[in-house]
Amino acid sequence: MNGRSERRAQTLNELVAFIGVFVVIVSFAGPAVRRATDVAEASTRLCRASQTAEIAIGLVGSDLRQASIVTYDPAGLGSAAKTWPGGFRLAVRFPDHTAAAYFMQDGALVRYSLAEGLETPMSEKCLRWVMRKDFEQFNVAPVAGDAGLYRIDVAIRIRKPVGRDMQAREQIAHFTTAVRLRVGGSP
Amino acid sequence: MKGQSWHSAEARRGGWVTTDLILGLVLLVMIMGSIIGAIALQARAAVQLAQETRARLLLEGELERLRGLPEAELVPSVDERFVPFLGVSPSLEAATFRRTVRVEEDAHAARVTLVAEIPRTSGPCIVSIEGILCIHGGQAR
Repeated sequence: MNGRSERRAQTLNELVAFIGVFVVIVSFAGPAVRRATDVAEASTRLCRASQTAEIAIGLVGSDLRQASIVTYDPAGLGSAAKTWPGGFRLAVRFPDHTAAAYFMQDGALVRYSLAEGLETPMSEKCLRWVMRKDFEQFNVAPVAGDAGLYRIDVAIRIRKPVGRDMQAREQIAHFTTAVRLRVGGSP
Repeated sequence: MKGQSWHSAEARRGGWVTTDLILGLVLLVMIMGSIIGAIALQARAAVQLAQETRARLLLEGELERLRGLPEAELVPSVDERFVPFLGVSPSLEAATFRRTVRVEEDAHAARVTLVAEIPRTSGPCIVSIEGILCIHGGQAR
């Protein structure tokens, strides 16, 4: 009887000790694991940002290469869209008189296709193509001293959803390239 | 005798429990360590991917600039170091950029190879692009 109660007491002691050690480890490891998952999420977003920037630059660059006329706003494609009356902050017109226009809307890069002769896209006639909603800035501007060469700057927000101050934990990834008009063109 | 054997069995049992406890904790630490290690590896890979993307876009921009150069400025060179005209972002400050220009025999085209070498602890990462520029009317296109 005595031996059994001693065994029980010992088992209970071991159990309490084990739980204690486990709690200590988890309390130390908890923040580390949380930090690790944040890092994992941020790195995934950085990967996506890289891919998105490449895709967006590829498509805008492809439009610019084929463009005969490029109209742009030096301030870039801000969140306020359609700053020009009946126009956009970046628009390219192609030799076949069709056009493409871009603007930023709620962090998304939006591209409209304009039919021949149209200055503004009619909703039923435009093809809308939207990129991921994490664009901070998309600038297209001619390079000084080199006619026909346009610099493209893309900034993409990478959110690190840690704590309550989401804004303070945002990071901007910048990507820059240049594209030369093949057909011709004027700002 | 009976009491002694019970004590030794209990001591053995206690020893086994301690060993199990230590083994369990070591296993826990190993599992968590490997998870954190894998995540750190993933984070490094993401940063490297972003670096490579930036480098490739810079090289593409440089190639576009070369397309408009006058023929006279397109001099043949081998592994000539250059600074991208678009500027280098802080993440690529350690990278070196090299350019090789080979003008074809008929002088109507030039083969341009642009290389960015990004130093890494595991060995340098090479990002390269190649383009053929047609030389027309004294200008590369």
